[in-house]
Amino acid sequence: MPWTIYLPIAQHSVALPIMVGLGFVVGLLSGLFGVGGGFLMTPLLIMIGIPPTVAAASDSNQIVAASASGMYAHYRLGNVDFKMGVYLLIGGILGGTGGVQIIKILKAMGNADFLIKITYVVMLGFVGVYMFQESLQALRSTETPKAIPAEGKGKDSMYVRLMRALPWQTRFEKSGIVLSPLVPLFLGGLMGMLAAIMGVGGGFIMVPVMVYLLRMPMHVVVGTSLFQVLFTCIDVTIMQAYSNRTVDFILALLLLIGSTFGAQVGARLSTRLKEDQLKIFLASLVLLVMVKMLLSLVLTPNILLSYHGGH
Amino acid sequence: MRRFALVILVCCAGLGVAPAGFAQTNAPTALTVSPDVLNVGLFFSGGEITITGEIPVSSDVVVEIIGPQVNSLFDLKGRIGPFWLTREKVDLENAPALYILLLPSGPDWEQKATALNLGIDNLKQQIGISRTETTTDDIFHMFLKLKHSEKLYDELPGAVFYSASENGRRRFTATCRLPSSTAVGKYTVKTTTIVNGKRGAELSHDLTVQEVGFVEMVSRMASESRLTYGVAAVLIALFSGALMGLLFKGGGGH
Repeated sequence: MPWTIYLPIAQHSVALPIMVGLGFVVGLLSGLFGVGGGFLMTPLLIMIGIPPTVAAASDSNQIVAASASGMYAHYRLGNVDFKMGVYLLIGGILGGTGGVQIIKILKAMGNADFLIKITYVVMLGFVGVYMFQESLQALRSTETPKAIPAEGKGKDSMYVRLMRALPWQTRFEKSGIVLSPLVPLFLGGLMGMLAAIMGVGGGFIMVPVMVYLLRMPMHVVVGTSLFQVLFTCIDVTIMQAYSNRTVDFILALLLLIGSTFGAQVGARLSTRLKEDQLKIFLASLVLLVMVKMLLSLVLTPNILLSYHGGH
Repeated sequence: MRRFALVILVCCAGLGVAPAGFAQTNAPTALTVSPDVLNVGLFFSGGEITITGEIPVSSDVVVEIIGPQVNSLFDLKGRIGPFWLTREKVDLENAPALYILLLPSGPDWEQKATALNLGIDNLKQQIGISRTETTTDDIFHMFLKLKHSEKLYDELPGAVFYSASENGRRRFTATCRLPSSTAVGKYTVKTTTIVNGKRGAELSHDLTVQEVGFVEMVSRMASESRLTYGVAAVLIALFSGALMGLLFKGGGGH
């Protein structure tokens, strides 16, 4: 059968066009929004019948390719703030290591799965609703011929004053902001921790954080997020292959054929779409995944028994 | 004395052969499994197995394909408040990785098989289930549902066919497709004759499921050289990503 292929680690046969198609869709999102796509791809792979642990680990491997391709495209467009990326990455690695320890404690306590999912629901719900509301307001305000207010002004909140009060203020040229490196280190650490708990690259959390908390321009956010996602997923792939033997090389290869192509298309589309349109697309996607997660916690599962060791 | 010893020897040999010969009249003979080695290559999408043999005209035959016995840990979900979450862990011991029962045509063969301690429902006797708050019956039915969904447990009525009889015996052929999720290992193909509604003689034949070629190479590398495998997976991903980036650059402006 030329259209099916056997996955040696997943021990499962899959249809070639479906796998390449899935990769393309996820790659498109990666290039478009700067997210790794793990939060969407892993549930889709599980639905196809790939064991959850293999789905998550192999997905990290394909995200390496999609992020590398997407980041390269954004690098050529001048959209990567390397200085910010390195601070976020250092924080992310430290936070990720802490996150792994938290998972161990949660597993020992029992029901880590539920806590992970409920964290997803709360995080995605909060971020999705906030992004959606703000993007909608921005779209409405640009449609009416009013004086365009400067972004972020009028919201000189306690948060902004706190940011200015922090020590070692430094200029991030590419993003055009002045900020203490403690902020990206702390936020990177927090995101790394959440990403380790949730088992994804973390781009879908990182993008809103960069936009709303670090106040970086959207196009730089996408490239810089891909930079951070790339290195996080390299780390995860090697760790999963070494510790758990769950990286299916062939599965990742199939996905990345589609995803590298999709990432290039996404990166080009991102420069043509309006910033608020991008945000509203991402917000819709985040809310969709949140609803799916919530339903999986509330609706009666078809089979109450499942193999232990799922992600 | 020598003649007496010879008579004794002949009698003993006769006694030794007679029960075996009696059993052979009911037993399926010349049992073949084709192929008896199932190769799992890159384009493997499951495999068809054909089992053939001969049985007396007056008997029927059922065929079992039994996978290696494994011990597995499962999560059992339960409702707590509005949420479904893992309530307890369940250990299942000695459950075959695969169990397929091939039956002759006929309306009530599934019930007949169950009555003769054959079939999926009878696996309950051999599977050990750890103590849980849920009854073992419920756990067993959930387990069967899970295995059915993976196509690893099945009962197939009408899967055994007979050809015309000759010299009081007839040939049977049973065909079955093993799913792509069939695990690597040693399987047993077991035939049991059914005579007058009772279990007769049994014959077994080994079936090996093994990885070959590229699949075997990848699987071995992932097991034996884990770090190298992980680094190689990352390097290939990076190379693919960069290659696509370069291809797009060459393809036109942006």
